[in-house]
Amino acid sequence: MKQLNTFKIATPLLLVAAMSPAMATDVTVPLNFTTLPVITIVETRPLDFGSVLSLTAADTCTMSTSAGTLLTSAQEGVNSQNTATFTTTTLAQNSVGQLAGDCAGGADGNVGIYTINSFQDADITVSVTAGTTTDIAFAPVGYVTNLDEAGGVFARTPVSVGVAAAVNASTALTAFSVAGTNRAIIGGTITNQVPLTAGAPYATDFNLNVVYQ
Amino acid sequence: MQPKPRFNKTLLAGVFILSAGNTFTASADLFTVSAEAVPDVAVAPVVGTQISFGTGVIGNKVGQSCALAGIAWVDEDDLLFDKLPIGANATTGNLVTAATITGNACVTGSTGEIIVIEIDGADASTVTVSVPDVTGTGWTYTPTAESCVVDFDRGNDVQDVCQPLTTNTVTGVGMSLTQVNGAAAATVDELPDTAIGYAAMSGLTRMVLAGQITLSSDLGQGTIVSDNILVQVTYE
Repeated sequence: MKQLNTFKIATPLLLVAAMSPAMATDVTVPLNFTTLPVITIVETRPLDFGSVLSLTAADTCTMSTSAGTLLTSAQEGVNSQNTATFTTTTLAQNSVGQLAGDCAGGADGNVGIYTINSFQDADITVSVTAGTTTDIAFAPVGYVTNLDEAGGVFARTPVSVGVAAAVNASTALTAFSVAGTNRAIIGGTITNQVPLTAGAPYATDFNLNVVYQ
Repeated sequence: MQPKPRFNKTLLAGVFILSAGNTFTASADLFTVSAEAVPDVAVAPVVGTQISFGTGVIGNKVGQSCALAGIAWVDEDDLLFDKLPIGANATTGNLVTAATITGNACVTGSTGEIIVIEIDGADASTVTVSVPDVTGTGWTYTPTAESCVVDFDRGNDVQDVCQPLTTNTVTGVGMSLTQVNGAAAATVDELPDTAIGYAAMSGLTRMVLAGQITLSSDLGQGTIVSDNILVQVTYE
Protein backbone atom coordinates (compact mmCIF):
# COMPACT_ATOMS: atom_id res chain seq x y z
CA MET A 1 0.00 0.00 0.00
CA LYS A 2 2.88 2.33 0.57
CA GLN A 3 3.97 1.91 -3.03
CA LEU A 4 0.44 2.59 -4.28
CA ASN A 5 0.35 5.86 -2.37
CA THR A 6 3.58 6.86 -3.99
CA PHE A 7 2.07 6.24 -7.39
CA LYS A 8 -0.94 8.42 -6.63
CA ILE A 9 1.22 11.30 -5.51
CA ALA A 10 3.60 11.05 -8.42
CA THR A 11 0.97 11.15 -11.13
CA PRO A 12 -0.06 14.81 -10.94
CA LEU A 13 3.53 15.89 -10.63
CA LEU A 14 4.46 14.17 -13.86
CA LEU A 15 1.54 15.66 -15.74
CA VAL A 16 2.20 19.15 -14.47
CA ALA A 17 5.81 18.91 -15.45
CA ALA A 18 4.88 17.85 -18.94
CA MET A 19 2.25 20.47 -19.61
CA SER A 20 3.46 23.66 -17.99
CA PRO A 21 6.00 25.18 -20.40
CA ALA A 22 4.53 27.68 -22.85
CA MET A 23 5.95 27.07 -26.27
CA ALA A 24 6.63 29.62 -28.93
CA THR A 25 8.26 29.71 -32.27
CA ASP A 26 9.80 32.65 -34.04
CA VAL A 27 10.49 32.78 -37.70
CA THR A 28 11.99 35.58 -39.71
CA VAL A 29 11.06 36.21 -43.28
CA PRO A 30 12.99 38.49 -45.61
CA LEU A 31 11.43 41.77 -46.62
CA ASN A 32 12.59 43.38 -49.84
CA PHE A 33 11.87 46.38 -51.95
CA THR A 34 13.72 48.59 -54.36
CA THR A 35 13.18 52.23 -55.00
CA LEU A 36 12.59 53.41 -58.53
CA PRO A 37 15.63 53.30 -60.77
CA VAL A 38 17.89 56.24 -61.35
CA ILE A 39 16.47 58.39 -64.13
CA THR A 40 18.71 58.70 -67.13
CA ILE A 41 18.49 61.08 -70.07
CA VAL A 42 19.96 60.20 -73.43
CA GLU A 43 20.46 62.71 -76.20
CA THR A 44 18.77 61.01 -79.12
CA ARG A 45 19.32 63.93 -81.46
CA PRO A 46 21.27 67.15 -80.78
CA LEU A 47 19.54 70.47 -80.95
CA ASP A 48 20.95 72.37 -83.94
CA PHE A 49 19.72 75.63 -85.41
CA GLY A 50 22.05 75.36 -88.37
CA SER A 51 23.97 78.23 -89.94
CA VAL A 52 21.22 80.76 -89.55
CA LEU A 53 22.08 83.21 -86.82
CA SER A 54 22.19 86.86 -87.76
CA LEU A 55 25.26 88.78 -86.74
CA THR A 56 23.60 91.57 -84.83
CA ALA A 57 23.61 91.70 -81.08
CA ALA A 58 20.22 91.20 -79.40
CA ASP A 59 18.80 89.55 -82.49
CA THR A 60 16.76 86.45 -81.80
CA CYS A 61 16.11 83.26 -83.65
CA THR A 62 13.31 80.92 -82.54
CA MET A 63 12.89 77.26 -83.38
CA SER A 64 9.35 75.93 -83.22
CA THR A 65 8.25 72.63 -81.73
CA SER A 66 4.85 72.79 -83.37
CA ALA A 67 5.57 73.74 -86.98
CA GLY A 68 8.06 72.77 -89.60
CA THR A 69 9.19 69.32 -90.68
CA LEU A 70 7.14 66.24 -89.86
CA LEU A 71 8.43 64.44 -86.79
CA THR A 72 8.26 60.69 -87.28
CA SER A 73 6.92 58.26 -84.69
CA ALA A 74 10.40 56.85 -84.32
CA GLN A 75 11.74 60.30 -83.54
CA GLU A 76 8.95 61.15 -81.12
CA GLY A 77 9.13 57.69 -79.54
CA VAL A 78 5.44 56.98 -79.87
CA ASN A 79 2.76 56.46 -82.46
CA SER A 80 0.53 59.34 -81.46
CA GLN A 81 -2.19 58.12 -83.81
CA ASN A 82 -2.49 54.62 -82.38
CA THR A 83 -6.16 54.33 -81.60
CA ALA A 84 -5.70 50.88 -80.12
CA THR A 85 -3.47 52.25 -77.37
CA PHE A 86 -4.81 55.77 -77.06
CA THR A 87 -8.45 54.93 -77.17
CA THR A 88 -9.60 58.30 -75.87
CA THR A 89 -7.22 60.85 -77.31
CA THR A 90 -4.86 60.60 -80.24
CA LEU A 91 -2.90 63.36 -81.89
CA ALA A 92 -1.70 63.86 -85.42
CA GLN A 93 2.00 63.60 -86.09
CA ASN A 94 3.78 66.76 -85.11
CA SER A 95 5.89 69.09 -87.20
CA VAL A 96 8.88 70.82 -85.73
CA GLY A 97 11.98 72.86 -86.46
CA GLN A 98 10.54 75.85 -88.24
CA LEU A 99 12.68 78.92 -87.64
CA ALA A 100 11.36 82.39 -87.09
CA GLY A 101 12.81 85.74 -86.19
CA ASP A 102 16.30 86.92 -87.12
CA CYS A 103 17.22 83.70 -88.85
CA ALA A 104 18.74 83.57 -92.29
CA GLY A 105 17.76 80.91 -94.76
CA GLY A 106 14.59 78.89 -95.09
CA ALA A 107 15.61 75.45 -93.88
CA ASP A 108 14.16 74.07 -90.68
CA GLY A 109 16.46 73.43 -87.78
CA ASN A 110 16.74 70.19 -85.82
CA VAL A 111 14.91 70.17 -82.53
CA GLY A 112 16.68 68.43 -79.71
CA ILE A 113 15.27 64.98 -78.92
CA TYR A 114 16.01 63.57 -75.48
CA THR A 115 14.96 60.13 -74.31
CA ILE A 116 14.07 59.98 -70.62
CA ASN A 117 14.34 56.55 -69.02
CA SER A 118 12.53 56.16 -65.71
CA PHE A 119 10.07 53.40 -64.74
CA GLN A 120 7.05 52.09 -66.52
CA ASP A 121 3.93 54.04 -65.69
CA ALA A 122 5.88 56.35 -63.40
CA ASP A 123 4.78 59.93 -62.96
CA ILE A 124 7.68 62.26 -63.59
CA THR A 125 8.18 66.00 -63.69
CA VAL A 126 10.35 67.48 -66.41
CA SER A 127 11.67 71.01 -66.22
CA VAL A 128 14.16 73.08 -68.17
CA THR A 129 16.40 75.95 -67.18
CA ALA A 130 18.70 78.15 -69.15
CA GLY A 131 22.32 77.18 -69.16
CA THR A 132 25.52 79.13 -69.57
CA THR A 133 25.31 82.38 -71.45
CA THR A 134 28.13 82.76 -73.90
CA ASP A 135 28.04 84.94 -77.00
CA ILE A 136 24.54 83.65 -77.31
CA ALA A 137 21.84 82.86 -74.77
CA PHE A 138 19.30 80.11 -75.17
CA ALA A 139 15.82 79.81 -73.70
CA PRO A 140 14.53 76.26 -74.15
CA VAL A 141 10.89 75.69 -75.08
CA GLY A 142 9.26 72.45 -76.11
CA TYR A 143 7.17 69.58 -74.89
CA VAL A 144 7.37 66.13 -73.35
CA THR A 145 5.45 63.13 -74.59
CA ASN A 146 2.84 62.08 -72.06
CA LEU A 147 1.68 58.48 -72.42
CA ASP A 148 -1.31 57.63 -70.33
CA GLU A 149 -2.08 54.21 -71.75
CA ALA A 150 -4.38 53.33 -68.87
CA GLY A 151 -6.53 56.32 -69.63
CA GLY A 152 -6.08 55.94 -73.35
CA VAL A 153 -4.71 59.44 -73.69
CA PHE A 154 -1.68 60.76 -75.52
CA ALA A 155 -0.61 64.35 -74.99
CA ARG A 156 2.28 66.65 -75.71
CA THR A 157 2.79 68.49 -72.46
CA PRO A 158 4.50 71.89 -72.82
CA VAL A 159 7.73 72.62 -71.00
CA SER A 160 9.66 75.87 -70.80
CA VAL A 161 11.65 77.84 -68.30
CA GLY A 162 9.37 78.17 -65.29
CA VAL A 163 6.78 75.76 -66.68
CA ALA A 164 7.38 72.14 -65.74
CA ALA A 165 5.75 69.21 -67.49
CA ALA A 166 4.10 66.57 -65.33
CA VAL A 167 3.87 63.45 -67.45
CA ASN A 168 3.45 59.71 -67.29
CA ALA A 169 6.01 57.25 -68.60
CA SER A 170 5.10 54.60 -71.13
CA THR A 171 3.94 51.29 -69.78
CA ALA A 172 5.01 48.89 -72.48
CA LEU A 173 7.47 48.17 -75.21
CA THR A 174 6.31 49.49 -78.55
CA ALA A 175 7.81 49.67 -81.99
CA PHE A 176 9.16 53.09 -81.12
CA SER A 177 10.28 52.95 -77.51
CA VAL A 178 10.73 50.73 -74.50
CA ALA A 179 8.62 50.77 -71.35
CA GLY A 180 9.31 53.53 -68.88
CA THR A 181 10.34 56.18 -71.36
CA ASN A 182 9.31 59.63 -72.49
CA ARG A 183 10.84 61.97 -74.98
CA ALA A 184 11.48 65.66 -74.56
CA ILE A 185 11.33 67.62 -77.80
CA ILE A 186 13.13 70.89 -77.31
CA GLY A 187 13.38 74.00 -79.45
CA GLY A 188 13.54 77.57 -78.20
CA THR A 189 15.03 80.95 -78.76
CA ILE A 190 18.61 82.09 -79.20
CA THR A 191 19.41 85.68 -78.39
CA ASN A 192 22.69 87.11 -79.56
CA GLN A 193 24.59 88.64 -76.67
CA VAL A 194 27.26 90.25 -78.83
CA PRO A 195 27.78 90.89 -82.51
CA LEU A 196 28.54 87.53 -84.04
CA THR A 197 31.25 86.64 -86.52
CA ALA A 198 30.15 85.28 -89.85
CA GLY A 199 30.91 81.62 -90.30
CA ALA A 200 31.89 81.10 -86.67
CA PRO A 201 30.33 78.31 -84.60
CA TYR A 202 28.49 79.24 -81.41
CA ALA A 203 27.31 76.99 -78.66
CA THR A 204 25.55 77.24 -75.37
CA ASP A 205 23.62 74.78 -73.24
CA PHE A 206 20.53 74.30 -71.15
CA ASN A 207 19.49 72.04 -68.29
CA LEU A 208 16.89 69.30 -68.55
CA ASN A 209 15.79 68.13 -65.12
CA VAL A 210 13.66 65.08 -64.43
CA VAL A 211 12.40 63.85 -61.08
CA TYR A 212 9.82 61.35 -59.91
CA GLN A 213 6.66 63.01 -58.73
CA MET B 1 16.71 -46.02 7.80
CA GLN B 2 14.65 -43.30 9.20
CA PRO B 3 10.96 -43.03 8.45
CA LYS B 4 9.89 -40.12 6.23
CA PRO B 5 7.83 -37.45 7.95
CA ARG B 6 4.19 -37.80 6.95
CA PHE B 7 3.46 -34.05 7.11
CA ASN B 8 5.86 -33.01 4.35
CA LYS B 9 3.19 -32.45 1.68
CA THR B 10 1.05 -30.44 4.00
CA LEU B 11 3.91 -28.23 4.95
CA LEU B 12 5.01 -27.59 1.38
CA ALA B 13 1.48 -26.83 0.27
CA GLY B 14 1.16 -24.24 2.93
CA VAL B 15 4.36 -22.60 1.87
CA PHE B 16 3.25 -22.36 -1.74
CA ILE B 17 -0.10 -20.91 -0.85
CA LEU B 18 1.50 -18.36 1.38
CA SER B 19 3.98 -17.48 -1.28
CA ALA B 20 1.28 -17.01 -3.88
CA GLY B 21 -0.72 -14.93 -1.49
CA ASN B 22 2.20 -12.64 -0.89
CA THR B 23 2.57 -12.01 -4.63
CA PHE B 24 -1.09 -11.07 -5.02
CA THR B 25 -1.13 -8.63 -2.17
CA ALA B 26 1.97 -6.83 -3.61
CA SER B 27 0.00 -5.50 -6.64
CA ALA B 28 0.71 -1.87 -5.69
CA ASP B 29 3.81 -0.88 -7.57
CA LEU B 30 5.44 2.20 -9.08
CA PHE B 31 4.16 2.46 -12.65
CA THR B 32 5.53 4.90 -15.14
CA VAL B 33 3.13 7.54 -16.31
CA SER B 34 4.29 9.43 -19.33
CA ALA B 35 2.82 12.52 -20.93
CA GLU B 36 4.12 14.81 -23.56
CA ALA B 37 3.42 18.41 -24.11
CA VAL B 38 1.73 19.43 -27.31
CA PRO B 39 4.23 19.50 -30.13
CA ASP B 40 6.10 22.73 -30.51
CA VAL B 41 4.40 24.96 -32.96
CA ALA B 42 6.14 25.10 -36.32
CA VAL B 43 6.04 28.12 -38.56
CA ALA B 44 7.28 28.11 -42.12
CA PRO B 45 6.66 30.05 -45.30
CA VAL B 46 4.77 28.23 -48.00
CA VAL B 47 7.23 27.38 -50.73
CA GLY B 48 7.23 29.85 -53.55
CA THR B 49 5.99 32.79 -51.55
CA GLN B 50 7.87 35.81 -50.24
CA ILE B 51 7.06 39.35 -49.25
CA SER B 52 8.29 42.13 -51.44
CA PHE B 53 7.10 45.59 -52.30
CA GLY B 54 8.70 45.21 -55.70
CA THR B 55 10.63 47.81 -57.60
CA GLY B 56 7.97 50.49 -57.77
CA VAL B 57 8.67 52.32 -54.52
CA ILE B 58 9.22 56.04 -55.07
CA GLY B 59 12.19 56.77 -52.88
CA ASN B 60 11.62 60.50 -52.47
CA LYS B 61 8.09 60.26 -51.10
CA VAL B 62 8.95 61.20 -47.54
CA GLY B 63 6.01 60.79 -45.22
CA GLN B 64 4.08 58.76 -47.77
CA SER B 65 3.19 55.08 -47.75
CA CYS B 66 2.98 52.14 -50.06
CA ALA B 67 0.50 49.40 -49.17
CA LEU B 68 0.67 45.81 -50.32
CA ALA B 69 -2.67 44.03 -50.71
CA GLY B 70 -2.93 40.78 -48.76
CA ILE B 71 -6.29 39.42 -47.76
CA ALA B 72 -7.91 41.50 -50.48
CA TRP B 73 -5.68 39.87 -53.07
CA VAL B 74 -4.77 36.35 -52.05
CA ASP B 75 -6.56 33.47 -53.69
CA GLU B 76 -8.32 31.42 -51.03
CA ASP B 77 -6.81 28.36 -52.64
CA ASP B 78 -3.44 29.61 -51.33
CA LEU B 79 -4.79 30.36 -47.89
CA LEU B 80 -6.77 27.11 -47.64
CA PHE B 81 -9.58 29.10 -46.21
CA ASP B 82 -13.01 30.05 -47.40
CA LYS B 83 -12.86 33.82 -47.51
CA LEU B 84 -16.47 34.10 -48.52
CA PRO B 85 -18.40 31.18 -47.05
CA ILE B 86 -21.02 29.79 -49.34
CA GLY B 87 -19.92 32.28 -51.96
CA ALA B 88 -17.70 32.48 -54.97
CA ASN B 89 -13.94 32.67 -54.70
CA ALA B 90 -13.69 36.27 -55.82
CA THR B 91 -9.90 36.27 -55.96
CA THR B 92 -9.42 33.03 -57.80
CA GLY B 93 -6.40 32.99 -60.03
CA ASN B 94 -4.62 35.85 -58.27
CA LEU B 95 -0.90 35.14 -57.99
CA VAL B 96 0.98 35.75 -54.78
CA THR B 97 3.82 36.93 -56.98
CA ALA B 98 1.82 39.79 -58.43
CA ALA B 99 -0.05 41.41 -55.58
CA THR B 100 -1.17 44.96 -56.07
CA ILE B 101 0.53 47.85 -54.32
CA THR B 102 -1.10 51.21 -53.88
CA GLY B 103 -0.28 54.53 -52.28
CA ASN B 104 1.55 57.76 -52.90
CA ALA B 105 4.92 56.13 -52.31
CA CYS B 106 4.61 53.60 -55.10
CA VAL B 107 3.90 53.66 -58.78
CA THR B 108 0.32 52.83 -59.65
CA GLY B 109 0.14 49.56 -61.48
CA SER B 110 3.36 48.12 -60.18
CA THR B 111 3.16 44.92 -58.16
CA GLY B 112 4.69 43.25 -55.14
CA GLU B 113 4.66 39.79 -53.62
CA ILE B 114 2.91 38.43 -50.56
CA ILE B 115 4.05 35.59 -48.37
CA VAL B 116 1.81 32.82 -47.08
CA ILE B 117 2.99 31.26 -43.85
CA GLU B 118 1.78 27.95 -42.48
CA ILE B 119 1.47 27.40 -38.74
CA ASP B 120 1.56 23.80 -37.59
CA GLY B 121 0.39 23.23 -34.04
CA ALA B 122 -1.81 20.95 -32.01
CA ASP B 123 -5.35 20.08 -32.86
CA ALA B 124 -7.90 22.19 -31.07
CA SER B 125 -5.27 24.55 -29.73
CA THR B 126 -5.22 28.30 -29.99
CA VAL B 127 -2.23 30.47 -30.61
CA THR B 128 -1.19 34.09 -30.47
CA VAL B 129 0.51 35.53 -33.52
CA SER B 130 2.58 38.68 -33.35
CA VAL B 131 4.38 40.54 -36.10
CA PRO B 132 6.24 43.59 -34.80
CA ASP B 133 6.91 46.60 -36.99
CA VAL B 134 10.27 46.74 -38.69
CA THR B 135 12.11 50.04 -38.78
CA GLY B 136 14.94 50.55 -41.19
CA THR B 137 16.93 53.56 -42.25
CA GLY B 138 14.35 55.92 -43.65
CA TRP B 139 11.42 53.54 -43.66
CA THR B 140 9.07 51.55 -41.44
CA TYR B 141 7.17 48.40 -42.22
CA THR B 142 3.97 47.57 -40.43
CA PRO B 143 1.52 44.69 -40.96
CA THR B 144 -1.92 46.47 -41.15
CA ALA B 145 -5.30 45.03 -41.89
CA GLU B 146 -4.05 43.42 -45.09
CA SER B 147 -2.02 40.91 -43.09
CA CYS B 148 -4.15 38.36 -41.32
CA VAL B 149 -4.20 34.95 -39.68
CA VAL B 150 -6.94 32.45 -40.43
CA ASP B 151 -8.85 31.71 -37.26
CA PHE B 152 -10.71 28.42 -37.57
CA ASP B 153 -13.64 28.35 -35.21
CA ARG B 154 -13.71 24.54 -35.44
CA GLY B 155 -17.43 24.62 -35.76
CA ASN B 156 -19.38 26.25 -38.46
CA ASP B 157 -17.11 27.39 -41.26
CA VAL B 158 -19.20 30.50 -41.66
CA GLN B 159 -17.56 31.68 -38.47
CA ASP B 160 -14.03 31.21 -39.79
CA VAL B 161 -12.31 34.49 -40.35
CA CYS B 162 -8.90 35.85 -41.25
CA GLN B 163 -8.04 38.01 -38.26
CA PRO B 164 -6.22 41.21 -39.26
CA LEU B 165 -2.89 42.19 -37.77
CA THR B 166 -3.79 45.82 -37.48
CA THR B 167 -2.43 45.99 -33.95
CA ASN B 168 0.50 43.69 -34.68
CA THR B 169 -0.95 40.87 -32.56
CA VAL B 170 -3.84 38.47 -32.94
CA THR B 171 -4.93 36.27 -30.06
CA GLY B 172 -7.18 33.24 -29.86
CA VAL B 173 -6.35 31.91 -33.28
CA GLY B 174 -7.93 28.49 -33.58
CA MET B 175 -6.11 25.74 -35.41
CA SER B 176 -8.05 23.58 -37.79
CA LEU B 177 -9.47 20.19 -36.99
CA THR B 178 -9.70 17.22 -39.27
CA GLN B 179 -11.63 18.37 -42.22
CA VAL B 180 -15.01 17.36 -43.40
CA ASN B 181 -15.72 19.20 -46.55
CA GLY B 182 -19.45 19.17 -46.27
CA ALA B 183 -21.75 21.68 -47.78
CA ALA B 184 -24.00 22.08 -44.81
CA ALA B 185 -23.15 25.14 -42.82
CA ALA B 186 -23.94 23.42 -39.57
CA THR B 187 -21.27 20.79 -40.00
CA VAL B 188 -17.66 21.05 -38.99
CA ASP B 189 -16.33 22.34 -42.22
CA GLU B 190 -13.17 24.39 -42.46
CA LEU B 191 -12.85 24.12 -46.19
CA PRO B 192 -14.48 26.09 -48.92
CA ASP B 193 -17.67 24.38 -49.90
CA THR B 194 -16.69 24.31 -53.51
CA ALA B 195 -13.08 23.29 -52.95
CA ILE B 196 -11.73 20.42 -54.90
CA GLY B 197 -8.45 18.79 -54.08
CA TYR B 198 -7.77 20.54 -50.82
CA ALA B 199 -5.64 18.46 -48.53
CA ALA B 200 -7.24 17.73 -45.22
CA MET B 201 -5.70 19.76 -42.49
CA SER B 202 -5.61 19.19 -38.80
CA GLY B 203 -3.87 21.44 -36.33
CA LEU B 204 -2.87 23.83 -39.06
CA THR B 205 -3.63 27.32 -40.13
CA ARG B 206 -2.19 29.83 -42.52
CA MET B 207 -1.52 33.51 -42.52
CA VAL B 208 -0.82 36.01 -45.24
CA LEU B 209 1.75 38.70 -44.65
CA ALA B 210 1.36 41.93 -46.56
CA GLY B 211 1.26 45.40 -45.00
CA GLN B 212 2.71 48.76 -45.81
CA ILE B 213 5.92 50.71 -45.73
CA THR B 214 6.13 54.37 -44.85
CA LEU B 215 9.12 56.47 -45.84
CA SER B 216 10.62 58.79 -43.25
CA SER B 217 13.51 60.06 -45.36
CA ASP B 218 14.55 60.18 -48.99
CA LEU B 219 15.84 56.75 -49.94
CA GLY B 220 17.13 57.95 -53.28
CA GLN B 221 16.78 56.19 -56.60
CA GLY B 222 17.79 52.62 -57.31
CA THR B 223 18.16 51.78 -53.62
CA ILE B 224 17.81 48.11 -52.72
CA VAL B 225 16.33 47.58 -49.26
CA SER B 226 16.39 44.25 -47.47
CA ASP B 227 15.49 43.39 -43.89
CA ASN B 228 13.73 40.71 -41.86
CA ILE B 229 10.23 40.50 -40.47
CA LEU B 230 9.83 38.57 -37.23
CA VAL B 231 6.76 36.36 -36.91
CA GLN B 232 6.11 35.06 -33.39
CA VAL B 233 3.65 32.26 -32.71
CA THR B 234 2.87 31.18 -29.15
CA TYR B 235 0.49 28.63 -27.68
CA GLU B 236 -2.09 30.15 -25.42
